[in-house]
Amino acid sequence: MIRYTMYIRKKSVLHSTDPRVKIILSLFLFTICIIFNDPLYIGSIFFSLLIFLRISGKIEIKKILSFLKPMLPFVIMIMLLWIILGSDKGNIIYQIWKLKIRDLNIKMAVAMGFRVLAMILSTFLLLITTEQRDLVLALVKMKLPYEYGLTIAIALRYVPTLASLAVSITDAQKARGLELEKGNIIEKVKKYIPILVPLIVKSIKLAQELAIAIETRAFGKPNRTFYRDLKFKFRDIMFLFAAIVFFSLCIYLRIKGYGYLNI
Amino acid sequence: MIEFEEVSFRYPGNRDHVLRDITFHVKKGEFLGISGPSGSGKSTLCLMMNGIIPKTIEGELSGEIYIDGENIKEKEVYEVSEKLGLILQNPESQLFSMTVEEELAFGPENLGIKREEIEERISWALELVGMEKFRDAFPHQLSGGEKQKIAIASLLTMKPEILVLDEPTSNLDPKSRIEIFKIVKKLNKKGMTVVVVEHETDFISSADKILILNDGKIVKYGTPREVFREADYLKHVGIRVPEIVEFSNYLLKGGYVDDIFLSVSEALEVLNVKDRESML
Amino acid sequence: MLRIENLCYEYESGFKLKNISFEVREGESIAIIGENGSGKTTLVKNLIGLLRPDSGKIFLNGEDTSKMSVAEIARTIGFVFQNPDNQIFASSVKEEVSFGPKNLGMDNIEEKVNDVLKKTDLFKYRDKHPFKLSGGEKQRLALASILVMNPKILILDEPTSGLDLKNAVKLMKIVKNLQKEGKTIILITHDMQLVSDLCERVILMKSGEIIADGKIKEVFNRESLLEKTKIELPEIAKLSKILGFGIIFDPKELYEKWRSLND
Repeated sequence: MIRYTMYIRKKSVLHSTDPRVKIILSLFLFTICIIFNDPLYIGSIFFSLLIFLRISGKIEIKKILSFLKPMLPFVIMIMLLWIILGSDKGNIIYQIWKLKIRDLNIKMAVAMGFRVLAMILSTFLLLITTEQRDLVLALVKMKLPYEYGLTIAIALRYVPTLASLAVSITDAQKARGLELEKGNIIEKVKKYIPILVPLIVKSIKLAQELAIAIETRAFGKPNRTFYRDLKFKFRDIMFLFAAIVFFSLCIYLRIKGYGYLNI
Repeated sequence: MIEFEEVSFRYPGNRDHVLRDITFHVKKGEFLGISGPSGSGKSTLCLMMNGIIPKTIEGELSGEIYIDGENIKEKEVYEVSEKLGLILQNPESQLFSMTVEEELAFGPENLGIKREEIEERISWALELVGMEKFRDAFPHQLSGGEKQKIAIASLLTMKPEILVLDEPTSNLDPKSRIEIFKIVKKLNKKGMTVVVVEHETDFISSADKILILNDGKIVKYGTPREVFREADYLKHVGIRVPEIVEFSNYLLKGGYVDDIFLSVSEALEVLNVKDRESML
Repeated sequence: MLRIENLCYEYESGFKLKNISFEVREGESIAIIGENGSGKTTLVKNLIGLLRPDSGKIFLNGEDTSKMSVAEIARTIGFVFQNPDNQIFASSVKEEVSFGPKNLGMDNIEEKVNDVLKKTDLFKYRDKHPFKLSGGEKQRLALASILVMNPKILILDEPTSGLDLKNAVKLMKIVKNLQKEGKTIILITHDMQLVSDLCERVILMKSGEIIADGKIKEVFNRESLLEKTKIELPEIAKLSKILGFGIIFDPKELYEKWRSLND
């Protein structure tokens, strides 16, 4: 089975927190990752996030790391690029031919690596502990027009449908002798046409039928009600308050010049 | 409940009409079966009943259509949908929510029903289609038959008085087909007006009336017995009559029976099977 | 021609094919029947190499297929998928049909394509866009695009499902002609009349196992088997059984029997 959602069902503080609070928290953390560039600061943010997810979300660190693993090549590439193409300040600690490796760039590379990982973690915090439907509902509650919310929900809903359709189409074409592995890059790309065309045609047909189905369910009638609802609990408000305090503190530190290396 | 008065329709840019001079009436609580070969206009007819044609899918429509006494020309699709639920062939496109519960809530939410009432309707509809256990299921993981049952339930929560099903079982296995039709018959017994469109005629043989479309026109309209008596004609236009009806038609032609029969139990009565059993 | 020995296959979901063994002789017509989820499709996917058995062997003309690619197997076993829309991608009927032979590197493609289009009554549409064909024509196109690779064994998955009487009859005629030509046919279907019309042998599956393999009427007249598989008999077969004629699927055949007894 391929997994299409990152949501892990658990009973935890983070799981039961209002998704709107989690969205705000995610945005705060995201911003914090951007404003600091000192590896010490970003590194501690990253590790605190891991521990935070473990304690308040009951998500095992091993599990989180397994989610991060596919991102590693990307992170390593960013780090290498920083080491090679970073600034020309700082001391050269090693030189091969024209390639100068400077201590400041290594520091920055570490910071950038942690920055990417911490940014990913702050989104994971939301996606691992929130069901997709609650996420969409939260966005609608945060004044996103309902039509947009519905569109996002439908898009998420049909990801597995289209994925299994793609598998069926590939099987059908393989039975007609299509061999995807053979040939050079251009030939390989061309071989995807017999898979993409039916997939697109069927998606369009699905979308047309979907539009009819939605209409038959009285969509568009004014004064819609909502079966599921979100209500702020006292704890959510406290959580939000703590997040705002933490965020303001970080901004204050940054303005005072902490956690930022001039490059 | 449903009245079509001399309805004709053609798609824009087409010279030929998809449907011509369609007139029929369905009474409250009646079960109407519609059949016809591919391209005879069955699906177009269904989409007209709630106004999707010509409001969403445009074209040139003449004649009048009344649902529950009201001309739907002046109505929005969502207004007609409160009274008439339409089930389509592909269940995948009718289930667009992330869970079954939300799917069932979607219709009543649009109608502006209160939360407590929606809650009650969801439980009621799931019980009617025998899917109580699937309340939190993800639609993608259901089988074809289960999906179609949920699609029916998602209309039932809107409490329509009429249910129209357009080839609801054409992609399903025989077992699921039977289950779907048991549900439809149950709903009809509870007083719901039902229209079923099928190119296979076995399940509509228990309808009150059958309407046969060919080439956009009504070619036969009557009770199943009246319509199925003309099995040869139906075969000629490309409609398979139920095998048991075909058998009874042979018997009728051979002079062994006075009239056709539509079911096994009827056959046993007509053929006087008790004697046969003792004979064999 | 095709020999399956102790084939086992297990999905990640836990569904298993258990110890499947049978042999298909040249020119035979076999129907594989069973409820949804009994393993028919999984079995066939193993036969054509889309899935590979966990244990057990499949021999095609004496050769072990585990070393053959899907494309190589496709030269001998053609599989016509149920939904033609899952494979139609080309801009003309003849281009669509020539896809398979091109993949297999066959020669005289044009001649082969024309020949097969005539057999499937699609020759007049050879330059037409395949998306413009009717449902019945698309089904025949799917058949043509497999047939053109000239496989000795042809597997058909629910070939008449969704077709109206005229199109179903047309397709059956084509299949009957193929039988006359000596093709080996394996049919997966729920349509018992189709089975009794085309096949002399039935393989009955339940929960990933073969529970019966024999002549169609023998299999159906074994009360215990039907109980076990929960296969719903068509009304006509129920009636013929009560009337004491055993299982008959064809109304005309039942009538003839009735007449000979009553005259």
